[in-house]
Amino acid sequence: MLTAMPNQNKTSSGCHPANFCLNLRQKSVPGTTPATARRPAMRIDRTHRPWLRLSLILLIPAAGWYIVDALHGGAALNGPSGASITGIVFGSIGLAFMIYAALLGARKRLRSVPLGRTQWWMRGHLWLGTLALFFVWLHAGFHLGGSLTLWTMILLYVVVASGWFGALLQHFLPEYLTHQVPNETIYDQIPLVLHHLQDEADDVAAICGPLNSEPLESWRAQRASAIMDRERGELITSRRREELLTALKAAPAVGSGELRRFYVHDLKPYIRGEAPSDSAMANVRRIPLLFEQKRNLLPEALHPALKDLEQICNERRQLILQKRIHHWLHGWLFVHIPISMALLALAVVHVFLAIKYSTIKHF
Amino acid sequence: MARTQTPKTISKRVDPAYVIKPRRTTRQRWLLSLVAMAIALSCWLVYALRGRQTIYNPGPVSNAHAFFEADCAKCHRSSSDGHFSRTVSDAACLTCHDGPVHHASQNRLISTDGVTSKNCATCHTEHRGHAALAAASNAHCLQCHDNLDAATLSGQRTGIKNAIASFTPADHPRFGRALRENPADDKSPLADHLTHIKFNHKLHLDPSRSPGITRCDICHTTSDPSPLARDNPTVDDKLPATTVHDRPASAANSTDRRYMQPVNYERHCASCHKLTVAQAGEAPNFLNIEVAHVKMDIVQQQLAALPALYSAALAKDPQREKKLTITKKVRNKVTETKITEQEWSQAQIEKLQSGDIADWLASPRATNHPDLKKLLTPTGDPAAPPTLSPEEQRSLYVAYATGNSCNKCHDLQGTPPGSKAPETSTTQPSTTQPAALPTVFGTKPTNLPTSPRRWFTSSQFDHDKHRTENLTCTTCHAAALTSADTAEILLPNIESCTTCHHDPNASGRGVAADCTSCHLYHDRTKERVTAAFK
Repeated sequence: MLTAMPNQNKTSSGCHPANFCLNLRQKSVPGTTPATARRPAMRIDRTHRPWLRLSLILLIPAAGWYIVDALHGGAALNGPSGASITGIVFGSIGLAFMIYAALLGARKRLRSVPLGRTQWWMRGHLWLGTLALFFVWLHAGFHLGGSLTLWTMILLYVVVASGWFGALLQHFLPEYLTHQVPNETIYDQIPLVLHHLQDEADDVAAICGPLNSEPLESWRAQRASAIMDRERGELITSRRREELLTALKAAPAVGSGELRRFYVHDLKPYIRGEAPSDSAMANVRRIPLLFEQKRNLLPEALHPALKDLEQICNERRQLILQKRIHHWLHGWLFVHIPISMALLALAVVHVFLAIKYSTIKHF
Repeated sequence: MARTQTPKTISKRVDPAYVIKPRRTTRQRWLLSLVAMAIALSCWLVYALRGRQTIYNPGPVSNAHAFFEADCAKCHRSSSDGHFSRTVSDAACLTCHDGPVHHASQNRLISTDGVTSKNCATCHTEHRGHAALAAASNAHCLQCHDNLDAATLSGQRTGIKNAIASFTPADHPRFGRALRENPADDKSPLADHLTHIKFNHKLHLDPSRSPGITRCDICHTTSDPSPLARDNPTVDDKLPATTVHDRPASAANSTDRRYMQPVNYERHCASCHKLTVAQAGEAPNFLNIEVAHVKMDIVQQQLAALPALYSAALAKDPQREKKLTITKKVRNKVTETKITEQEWSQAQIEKLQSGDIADWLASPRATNHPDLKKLLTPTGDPAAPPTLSPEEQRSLYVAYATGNSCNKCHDLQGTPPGSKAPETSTTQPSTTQPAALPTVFGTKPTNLPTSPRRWFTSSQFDHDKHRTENLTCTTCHAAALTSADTAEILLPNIESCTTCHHDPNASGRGVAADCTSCHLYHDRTKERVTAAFK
C-alpha cells in the first residue's frame, strides 16, 4: 500500500505537484519516469491567462483611482498618503493579497480539506502576491516612509524578487531535468538509490573474482548470499539473479584482470562518491571514450558486464545532476519563505500601529 | 548478461516510508521562518521597549524639526485629552510658529481672531521632506487663488485678479506699483514708503556727466557697504577697494545677501557731494569747511559757530606743532624760535587774508555772501573771532540750506528761524501742504530705511541668486538709464522674470517658477513672538 503513496501525493523529485516542480510520473511507477509522461506542473503558460486578466482588472482601475486622487482628489494638495481613505483601501487590498499568498503553505498542509486545487492556489499565490507589491506602492504613494515601513518594503521586494526568481527556475529547469535525467528518482531517496547502485556494481564486478586476496570459496558464498538477498528484496529479477550467480561461479573470468583494475581504481571510487574531482570519471565527455577504450581491451565475454557498469555510472551521474538541479529548484524557498514570514510579522505590526495611532478613538 | 530493470525493481530501491517521514528541508525552512519572524518582531520590540519612537516615523522629518524627531508628542498631542493624536493640532504648530494670516479678507484657513492662520496641516505636511513642509506646490495657493471671489469675505475683495492660472504676463497680475505723494490717495502699503530725496539716476549713469561712477553697484549692493564705495573718504583712500582687506572695518558683509542695502550719504555721496559752506567756485578752497550731515538744528548751530569752527580748523592743523617752531638759518647758523599758538594763528589768518581771502572779498561773488564777507573780515584779534548777529546767522543758515547743499538732495520744510510767517522753501514744490509746519526749518525726513528695503512685501527676490555673467543691473532695471524722477519706481515687471522663468506646468526655457518662488503666504510683517520664545 505504501508503494502507491508517492504516486498520489508527490512527484519523484520529492515535492508536491503544486509546489513549483515537475508533475511527473502521473502514470508511472514510483522511482521511474517515462519521458513521455513527464509534464511540468508550474509552467507560466496559457493556464495563467485568467490570473493575468484578473490582475489587470484589479490593477488598472486601482492605478486610475490613484492618479485621479493624486491629481484632483484629496491627494492633490499634499500628495498621496497611506492614511487617506484611498491609501487605506490600497493598503488593505495589498495586505489581503499577502495573507492569501501566505495561506498557500496552510493549504498544502490541509490536503484533505476541499479548498480548491492546489495549482489554483499556486497561480493565485504568484499573481496576487505580485499584485500586493503594486497595491503597497499605491498605498505608500511610492514613498519608503520611516524605519518600520522601509524595512517592510525591503522585505516585500526580497519576497517578490525571490518568488519570481523561483518561478522562472520552475519554468525552465524541469524541462532541462526531464532531458538530462531520464532516471530521475525521489530526491530524498537519492542516497539510498546510490547505495543500491553500489551493491549492484559489486554484483556485476564479481565476474572479475575477489577484489582482494580473500579465499575464493568463501568470497563466492558471501557474494551469492548478497545476490540472493537482493533478489529476495525484489531489487533484481530472478533471471538477473541466475545470470549473476552463473557469472559468480565462473569467476574470475578469463582476461578479467583489466576489468578488475578498472573497477577498483576508477569505477568503484566514482560509484561510492570517493573519486577525486579530477578523476577520469568526473569528465562526462570522456566517460564514453573511456568505456570504449576498455571494451577494446577486454574479451568479448566481459563486454556485457562492462556495459552494465557503464549504465550504473550513467545513472549515478544523473542522480547527482538531479540533486544539483533540485537544490536550484528549491533552494530559493529558504529565502522566500522565511522572509515572507518576517514580512507578515512587520506588516501586522505596521497595521497594529497604524490603527492604534490613527484618529480612531478608544482603540 | 544484461542489466534488466523492471518497474518493481526500481520501486524497491526507494523506501516507501519516506512519505510519512518529516523532510529535513521542510523542517529547516520552518525553523528559518520562525527565526526570521522572531528577528523581525525582536527588532521592533527592542525599539518599542527602549522608547525609540523614530521607528514609527512615516518618513524623515524636516531639518527644522529634526532635533525633536524622537519626541512624537511634541507635535502629535491631542489638544483635548493630551494623548497621542495622529493629526497635528494648530496649537502644536503655534507653540513655535505664529503663522500670521495671509490676508485679513480671506474666508478660509483663518482663525476666529482674524490674525492667525488655521488648519496648518492643510498645507504643511511633515515627514515628506522640506518641500512638503514648506507647502511649496502651486496647488496650495490655488485653493483660493483659483477663485478668489469664493475665498474672500463678502465686500472685501481687493483688486487682485480672481483667478491666477499661471506665471505668464497674460495670467499673472503685473507687478506695477505707484507711489503717491499723499498716502491717503493710495491704499497701496507702498505709499508710506515714499522717500523725500532727489536723485537723478539718468544723470549719475551718464558716463559723460559722471565719469567713473556709472556703475550701479557703487551704491546698490547686497553686501554692506559696497566694496566700491568709500567710507568718509580722504585723499589717500583707495577707490575702489580691491579686496576685502582694503575695506574699512565697518564694511562687514551682510549675512543676508538677498536685498540691496540702503544708500548712505557718508559712503555713497560724500566723496563727490561735500557739504561745504560755500561750494567749489564760489569761495576759496580754504572755506570748504565741511558741515556735518546731521540734523538741521545741529547744522544751524554749526553754521553759527563757523568763526569758531574756522579757528578750530586752524588749531587742528596736523602740522601745527611743527609750525610753532620757526627755524632760521643765517650763515650756516641755525636758530629756532618758539612762538605761541595765538601768534601762529594770527599769522595764518593774516596770511590768508592777505592772499586768497582778500582776493575773494574783493570779487563780485563775495557780495552774494555778505555773512561770509563779514565773517572773514579781520577783526585784528584772533582770540576774538568775528561773530554773527542772529539775523546774520539766520541768513547764513537759509542760504546754506537752500543753496547747493541740503536742497540738492532733500526737500525742505518748516519755518526759517526768525521768520514770522510759515514758509516752505523747496526748489521742487510739493503737492502737499502740511497742516502744521515744524518749527525748525530744514529737510524733510527722507523715509530712507536703515535696513534693506523690500518693495514687494508679499514676495521676495534674491539679488544674489541672480548674479550671472550676462545679467547686468540694467538688464532688469532698464528704466534707471532714463529716469530723472526719484518718485519713479525702477523695479522690473513680469516680462523681465518670464525671460528666464516659466510656469512649472509649462515647458519653456530657463527655470520653473512656483508661486512660492517669489511669494510668501504668511504675512511676516504681522508675525508675533510665540510662547516658545518668550
